[in-house]
Order: sequence, then C-alpha cells, then structure tokens
Amino acid sequence: MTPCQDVVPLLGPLLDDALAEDDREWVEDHVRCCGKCLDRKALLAAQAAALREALEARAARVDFAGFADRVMARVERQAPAPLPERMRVWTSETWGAHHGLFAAAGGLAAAAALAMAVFLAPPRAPVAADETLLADASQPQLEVVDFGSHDGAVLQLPDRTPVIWLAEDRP
Amino acid sequence: MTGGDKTPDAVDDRRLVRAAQRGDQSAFRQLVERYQRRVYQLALGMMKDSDEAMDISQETFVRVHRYLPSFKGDSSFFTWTYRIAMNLCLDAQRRRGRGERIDVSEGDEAEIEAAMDPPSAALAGPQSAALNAELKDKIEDALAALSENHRAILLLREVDGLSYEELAKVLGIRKGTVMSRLFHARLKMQRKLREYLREDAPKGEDDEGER
Repeated sequence: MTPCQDVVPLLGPLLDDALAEDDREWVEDHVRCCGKCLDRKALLAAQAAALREALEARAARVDFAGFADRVMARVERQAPAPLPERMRVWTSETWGAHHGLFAAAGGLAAAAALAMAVFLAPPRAPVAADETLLADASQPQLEVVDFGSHDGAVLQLPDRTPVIWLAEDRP
Repeated sequence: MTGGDKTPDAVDDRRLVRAAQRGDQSAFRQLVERYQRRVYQLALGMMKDSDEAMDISQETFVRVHRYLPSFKGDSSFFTWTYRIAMNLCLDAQRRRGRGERIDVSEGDEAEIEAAMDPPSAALAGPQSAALNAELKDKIEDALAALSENHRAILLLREVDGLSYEELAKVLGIRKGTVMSRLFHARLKMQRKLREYLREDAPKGEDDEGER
C-alpha cells in the first residue's frame, strides 16, 4: 500500500477535485483502506466548511442597503483613468491570462537569436581530426521539444554543449 | 459560482460588462449588486475588521469602474474583480505593517512530516459534526493568525470555491505554487486550531494505521 506521506499532500487536491484521473484512483484506494488518512481528509473538509460557514454567517448579517448607491455616487464623480494607468491594467490582465504563451514565445525568440549569433560568428580554428567525424556537430542545432507539461527547446552548440530551455507550466 | 467561463453567470457577466463599458450605469450597478457580498466576504476574511472590509469593498468597485474600459475579458469578470479586491487588502495590510510573506516553497519535507501527526480526535473523525461549534468559534482567530499569502489562498479556495487555475490568476502565481501554498495554508490553519483548542498532538499514539 502507498505510504501515507505520499498521500497526505494530495488529500487537499482530492477534496478540491484537482487530481488527474490516475492519481485520484490510487489516492482514493489508499484513503479507503487507511483510517488515519480518512480522518485527515475529514478534517480538511470540516475545516473548510467551518471557515466558509463562519464568514458567510458574518457577511449575511451585514446590510448592503445603500452600498450600490454609495458606489454609484462615487463613480459618477470619477474621471476616467489616465492612459498610462489604463495601459498598466490592460497589460496586467493580458499578462495574467497569457503569461505562459508570452514566456514560451520569448524563450523561443531568445533561443533563435542565440542560434543565429552562433551561426553567424566567424569560423573557428580548424578542429581536431576526431571532431571532423561529427559533421552535424559543427553547426548549432535548435530543436523545439514538447516536454509534456512544458514547452521548450534544445540548442546544441558547436562544441556539443546542449542548452535546454523550458517554458513555464502550460496554462 | 465558481467562475467557469461558460456558466450562465459568466455569460451574463460578459453581457453586463459590455453594457457597462458602453456607459450603461445600470448594468454596472447590477454587477456591483451581484458581487458586493462576495467581495465583502473576501475582504472581511483578509482584514477581519468589518468597517475596513466595507471600505475596501467599496473601493474595489470604484476601481473596477475606473478600469473597466481596459478590461478585455481575457479572464472572467469576477476573477478580475477579486484580484483588484485582493490587491487592495494586501496594500492595506502592508500599510499597517502587518504583512508577512512567507516563501512557501521551502520546508516541504518538514511540513509533510508535521502533517503526518495523527489528526486529533477533537478535530476529525465521525464526531466531526460536533466539533464544530467550538471550531467555528476559533476559526476566524486561526485565519487571522496566518500570513497574508496563506489567508488569501484559503479564503479564495474554501470560501469562494475558486479553481486552481482561477487561484493562479487572482494571486498571480503558477498553478504548481497554488497546490503547494494551499497545502501549507491548510496545515498551518490546522495547527493554529490545535493551539486554540489547547490540544497537543497525541504523543506516542499507536501508529498501526501509518504505512
């Protein structure tokens, strides 16, 4: 049976329905057979419910009559945000929604620029005889690679040094 | 409401947002009325003080209105609004010098070890329904004792039911960090509750159930 210490960090995601299907199966199998993990899971659920109920009860006691009126009175007096401020908000939203894509594009551009720089660099001194056998190693090689959960690229420098670049998690 | 982009609420939000962007004040008012309590609840959890929470809620909608022309709809309206509310809460706490940020990526092993303590009988188990009068009394104190990062993620997940993806957007962190931060936040909350209930983790308890 899977050790409890492997399961404990996944009890929260199990409750949140945030586990991949295959992980969920083995975590649920463990919890079915382990009284302590069952209790741990129950505790997480009870804690969440208590927090939710406590705050909902406090918020429910608040009278919101007039709240929207006060907001509307303020917004009617409000001048539109200046352009730089609007741009900042626009950029922040765009970055928040697409930062993975931007990071991937930026990384690929950087890798391509590096490859071009190496490719266009002046030729090196003649290579040793054994290196001449590696025909494809005399030029930088750039390969875009799908690493599963990440996008990335591998740049092979002429001296056979691999440079591996990984983008952030896919959104 | 959990903010899935295809829910009727989300579709209706988009319609209201577009109308408000064209200057329809009644559409904006509907958005305020739709989210006022939830935004207040979030601010209340973050600030604890109800007057301060009310001020922040009001300021949130004023800013939402101010920036609405820049809102493109890449994220859902409520995620965007929560992000504004959360930033206001964090700013207010920093002004008060109460902010405490913790690097949650550290100490994973130690935290997992700590989580291996057997759940206390008073906090879990079949009698957990009964726990709950005492637990409910203490839960807001325990929440207030957490760092702002942990308080924020617990509120957004446990109270507002945001998905991990939405949490990442509102908090501006990666999805992998969401899972880790949430784990630590829940564990810290559990420890605080133990302290408040003056319970020590049972010592030398039979570990038969551990594998």
